[in-house]
Amino acid sequence: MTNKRSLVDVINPEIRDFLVEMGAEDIYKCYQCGKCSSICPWFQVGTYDFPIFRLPLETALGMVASSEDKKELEEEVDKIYRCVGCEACVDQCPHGINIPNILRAARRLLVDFGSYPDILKSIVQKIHDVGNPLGEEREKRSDWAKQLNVPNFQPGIEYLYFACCIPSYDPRVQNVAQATVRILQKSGVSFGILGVQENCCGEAIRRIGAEKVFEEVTKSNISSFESAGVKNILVTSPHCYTSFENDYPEFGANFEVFHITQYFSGLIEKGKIQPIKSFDKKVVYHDPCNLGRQNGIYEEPRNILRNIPGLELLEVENFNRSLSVCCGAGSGALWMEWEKDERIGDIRINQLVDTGAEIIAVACPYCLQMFEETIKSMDLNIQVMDIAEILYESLG
Amino acid sequence: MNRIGVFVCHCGRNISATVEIDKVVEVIDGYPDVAHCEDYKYLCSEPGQSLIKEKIKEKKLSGVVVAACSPSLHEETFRRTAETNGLNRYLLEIANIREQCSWVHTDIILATAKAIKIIKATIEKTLLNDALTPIKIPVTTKALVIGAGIAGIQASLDIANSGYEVTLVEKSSSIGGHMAQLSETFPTLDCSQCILTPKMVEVAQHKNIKLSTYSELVDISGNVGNFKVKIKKKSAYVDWEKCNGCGDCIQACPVKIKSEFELGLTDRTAIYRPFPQSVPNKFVIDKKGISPCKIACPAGVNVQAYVALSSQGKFEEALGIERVNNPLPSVCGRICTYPCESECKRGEFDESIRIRSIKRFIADYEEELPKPELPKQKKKKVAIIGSGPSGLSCAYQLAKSGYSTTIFESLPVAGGMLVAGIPKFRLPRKSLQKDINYIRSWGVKIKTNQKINDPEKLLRDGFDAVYIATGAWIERKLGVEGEYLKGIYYGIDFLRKVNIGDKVIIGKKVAVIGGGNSAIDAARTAIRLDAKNVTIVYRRSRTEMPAIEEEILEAEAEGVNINYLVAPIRFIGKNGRLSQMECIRMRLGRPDASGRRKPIPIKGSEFIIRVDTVILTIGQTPDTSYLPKNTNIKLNKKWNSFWIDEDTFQTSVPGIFAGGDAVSGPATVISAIANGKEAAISIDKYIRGVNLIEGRELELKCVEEVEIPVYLPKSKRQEISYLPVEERILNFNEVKLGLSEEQVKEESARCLACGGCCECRECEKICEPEAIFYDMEDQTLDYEIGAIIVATGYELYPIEKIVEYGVGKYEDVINGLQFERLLSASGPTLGEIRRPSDGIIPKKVAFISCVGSRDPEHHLPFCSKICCMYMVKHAMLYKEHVPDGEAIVFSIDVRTAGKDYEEFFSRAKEEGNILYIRGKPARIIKEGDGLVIWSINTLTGRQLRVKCDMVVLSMAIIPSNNAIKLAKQLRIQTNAHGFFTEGHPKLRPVESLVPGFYLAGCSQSPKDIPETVAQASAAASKVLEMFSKKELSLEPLIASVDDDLCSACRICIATCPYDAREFDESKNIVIVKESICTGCGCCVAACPTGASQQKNMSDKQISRMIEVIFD
Repeated sequence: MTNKRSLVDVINPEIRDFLVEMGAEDIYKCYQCGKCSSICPWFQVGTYDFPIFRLPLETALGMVASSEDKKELEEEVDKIYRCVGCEACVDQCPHGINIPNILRAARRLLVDFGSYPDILKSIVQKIHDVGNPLGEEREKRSDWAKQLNVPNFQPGIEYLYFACCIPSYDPRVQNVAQATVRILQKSGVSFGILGVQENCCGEAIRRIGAEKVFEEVTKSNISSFESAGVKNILVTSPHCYTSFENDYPEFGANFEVFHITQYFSGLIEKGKIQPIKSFDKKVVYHDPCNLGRQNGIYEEPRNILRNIPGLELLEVENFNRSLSVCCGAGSGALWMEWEKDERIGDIRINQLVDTGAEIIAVACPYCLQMFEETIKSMDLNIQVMDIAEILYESLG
Repeated sequence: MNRIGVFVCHCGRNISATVEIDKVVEVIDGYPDVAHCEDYKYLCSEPGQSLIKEKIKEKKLSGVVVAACSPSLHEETFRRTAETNGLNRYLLEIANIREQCSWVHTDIILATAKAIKIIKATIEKTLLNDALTPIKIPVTTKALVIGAGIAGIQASLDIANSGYEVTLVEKSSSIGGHMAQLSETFPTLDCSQCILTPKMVEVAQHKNIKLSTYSELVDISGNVGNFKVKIKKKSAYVDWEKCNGCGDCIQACPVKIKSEFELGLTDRTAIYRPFPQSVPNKFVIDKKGISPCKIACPAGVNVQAYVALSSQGKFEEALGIERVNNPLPSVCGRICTYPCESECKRGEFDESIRIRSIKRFIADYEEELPKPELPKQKKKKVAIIGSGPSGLSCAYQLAKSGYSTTIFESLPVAGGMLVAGIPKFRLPRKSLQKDINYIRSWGVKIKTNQKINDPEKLLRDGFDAVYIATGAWIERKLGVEGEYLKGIYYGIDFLRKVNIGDKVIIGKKVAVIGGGNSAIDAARTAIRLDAKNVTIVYRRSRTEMPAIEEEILEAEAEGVNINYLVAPIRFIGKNGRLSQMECIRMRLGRPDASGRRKPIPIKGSEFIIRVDTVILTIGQTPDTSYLPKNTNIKLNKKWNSFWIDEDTFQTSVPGIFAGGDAVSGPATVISAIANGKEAAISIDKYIRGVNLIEGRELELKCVEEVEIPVYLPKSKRQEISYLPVEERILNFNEVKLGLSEEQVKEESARCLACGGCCECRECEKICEPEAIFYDMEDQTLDYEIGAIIVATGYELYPIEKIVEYGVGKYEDVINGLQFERLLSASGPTLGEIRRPSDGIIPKKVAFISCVGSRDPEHHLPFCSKICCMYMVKHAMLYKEHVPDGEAIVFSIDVRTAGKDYEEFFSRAKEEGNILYIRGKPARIIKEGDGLVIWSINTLTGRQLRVKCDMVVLSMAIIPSNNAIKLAKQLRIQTNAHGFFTEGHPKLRPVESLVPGFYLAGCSQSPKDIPETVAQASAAASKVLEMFSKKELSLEPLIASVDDDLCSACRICIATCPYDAREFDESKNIVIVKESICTGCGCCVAACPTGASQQKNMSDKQISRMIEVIFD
């Protein structure tokens, strides 16, 4: 974003036009107030200078990802991949400028030239090859559901439950998918899974900038959903929600998408499930960026927690709902390695711990995985659970 | 013969670049009826107009079409040219080939073809035009100015000084507007009040200005030059002729409401003037409505008033208020079921006010009974049967009206159920006696040991009316086996015996059946009689239990057990004495008629418990068995209670009334008192021989919205103290010890003053000129007006919309106007800058610009214009007040366009050492007792976390909240944000789009004081321009009626938005009032026969034009 070149070639129209074409069209609205930079989670980290307020104007000058000096470019690439896509800046910008979109445009440029971080290259490759970023075998995708008697989706079934990659493979997060299925079974709803046919939704690769692979994955997913006769999709991950709800319609998809907390909250309201077992814990709810700020789902997760007897629901003062702070895992950041004092997750976990909660409730597998790791690395005495896990315990 | 001349303008290249002028001229020249066609570079120029002039004469033209720009620009210019050369001005038409053709097209061939069609159509219209003459109307040379801020004041003075009459209407009770709130003004820093108040006084004293404050426009009709307006003067409840503005009433008023003028930084009273320099210097009483607590009280006790008076330590006055409706404050302060507390709005915020405890305090506070001033005695006698609360209340109310009242009581003591049914530990007898003594002091006679069996006989014995308040004393039976065994008592019988001092023998193991207050009373009494084990057996659960929660807790603390969802089904005796009770467990089914869930026995769950005493408290019914067989008094079949008319309490026998438990069955003491009061009203009416219903307040309307101050801290209600449990179970001493005087003051100060004025009438007592007038009503006055200036000003964008800055959470984040008040010598801190939360002088203050402004995504897109400059001023004045303080301004841009403004800004930075940071903060977060601002300095790129003591937000300004409503009433336009739209953004900046309305000040757009004053003077001069003419000339392009076609259906009358249509009886048609019709065309479209036609835009003309276009 910033580079130290002479004044001679200060405007690079080719790059500018490319970026505008790729989704940076908001740049001319910017009046440089800087609000984006001080709401950015990197502002709270404080050890890393990430002046995104300059981005729109520098894009207008074509000065993004444009250095010919290798070292300079490397620094720039590092900056471009610092954005976690939380959209706090979008939410606060007086003109609604979508800074992550501008960065995504820059990332597309970098991906086209192959100059993006190696770790992300391997993630994109794995998703392309085996349909998940973990590099696990396709055949094992539905192992988590083996003991659960879940039917494979077929016409006539009302809902597709889309578990997402991490709950499908990660041993800790598998429990979330299992709890979800058990709750759905208790409620008597008609649902099925795609089993080994399920494939990564591609949300992360689009945000990494690998648009071509994303398109490939998306089109293949849409056609497999359509041929299976899927109309309604229940998702565990807010990232899948964003994909199916906001990204896929660009490619002609038309599915009704429900985040699982929306669906569970509805089941409770209708009396289809009833949390009866007391869960006597202080629980703080962490708003995932993709669920809250980006899709406006704030109340349903809280409604579930409020309906659980014995549970004391806490809020992170000053940093909840639209002002929630990212766990640090979005837009490919889950796989990035940053210095110990440069981690957004550490900042967020401290805010959550400060509430005095015993449990952090999340509604996103990324947040769950990120917090599990952060708790371990910081050696904290707090537990993190998905809302589905808490709800399942309370159903008794 | 028609001879049309067509002139085509090039408008430089504006038209000619896209429209082939030669081609147009060639085609039009050959069009039928065209006598001449010619083009010219600029027709609007002097030579261009001369050309038209010459051709009119030379070619003897009968009509002219000018093909040029929009008619809104030059129609008037060309018509004037036509007119001066002998052609009627309405025979000239404009064909708009610029805005509607050349400017919006790029294809020359298509644009040329379109231009030709536009011109041909206009020729066709012109051919059918009539030669019209303008309508002349007289002008009412009186102006109305709406809004009395600096704009309205200036405009009014200018018009008034020119010798014309002005009516100045202002919604607040004082003129002055926002300028009166400001401390100093930029860039000269002269005192706002000092320059404003002389003008305010001038307005008040001007012989040509009629000042109507505390008023609003309610209706307007008519048209430019002759409007009829209705102005509502809101009732001030103070006679302004008499009010001398002394302010004594402020001292008397116990109500505290956030002051609007001080923007909530301090309180005002319910009777108030906005600020001490108010003009006119008159007071108003802020009555918002009736408070929910008063509505909740069955007896209509003015709760808010006695609570407010208590907060001031005016306990005697408070008791006086109480006794207007309730003669038993000492009793009710202890045992009332306080419906008022459940309706208390404070309860929705944190905890309701402890109203009952306040009442008890004020009742106990009185050491000696006052000697009442007895009214003149009437020679009428009323008999009351029963000395319970209802009888006492009725007797008291009648005695106060001068009736001779006698209560007949069958028991040896007065008080009814209060003495027999309520244990002494809840209601000490001296407290009851105090209230009874008070009632006696009004001359009420109570005859004990006198049982009345025939109420009708009392009428025959010479009483003028009778009130039956004999209560509900028949105990209901459980109807199970063994109910008559020894050891089983009925609740009231049990309590009465204990209360009167009869000997009662109970065992060690006592069960009380029931869940009401009597059950609790019986259980607690049993504990005090040395029972070892007392259990309440109730068939529903705790949620459905009707007893007061507080009493249940007290009982439990004393060791009473409660067994829920259990009911007795059999009592088992041994030698005729109770020894065991068989019970069954219950579960709850669906809600029954009482709304509570119905208990259903669980089969097979029967069990037996050992008991030696059972007290049955399952309710009572009225006793009517004493009535003679041949009585005329009708009874209700159910419960055997007295039948009454629900509104008047009269029984089937005229002159005999009934109320209390005798009618309703067991109910609360306060509803019994309420019945007594209502019956007394009826009895008075009955004796006076007037209609019993008329003049009664049957339904009271509660205040609709209660505003809770933004930063009201949550507080708990005062804790009442109790006798220690170990001590109280040994005797019958009163358990609750009540609140202390300090506690009562604190508790009553928590009241939100829902109703505004509490109607305690303390101001009335203190007002020397006797100006208070509680029953005043709104007044509506009619005015005839020629021109109207709208100057309704602005308000700040609601600060609570800025969530990221912690507004609503942090009291020290304030807005610019609040800061003005902190700076002002007459403000809440008397000119010392002290922050609202703790009164500390802030040593570091941040000012943030563009809050709400320039934020199209969340708030408002426009620049509020004045903020940059007043922030410079704020920062400078802050430094002046707090020289060792630090002022930091966060801004995106600093806009200083204005005379001496940039210099002022430079001086602030250079001499004032004010730090400007370029950046819009993202968050304000409280840390310790400071506020940390998160921002970056975009010029250095540095991240900043600045800790401040106070933050001032420069909020966007928006039109005052009634602007949109007013715009609808006046039928003038606003933009998307509610700012009034001017006639032309450059050339007609002070006129509205509708003739007769002029604009001044911030209601048109954000602007500073110099600009506002200039605009006000400009608007005034426009009004004066109109007034300088003898008559107004109106365009005749209005509706007309073809007499032959009009079927008198009158649809047009209903359609006309201006009331310009009128039915003419003599002709049996609907005519057009020409001076009022604006030519909007609604009636033309609505007319089913085609009788209504727009002049020079008739259906025929329009059809012809369409035909030509589609040709």
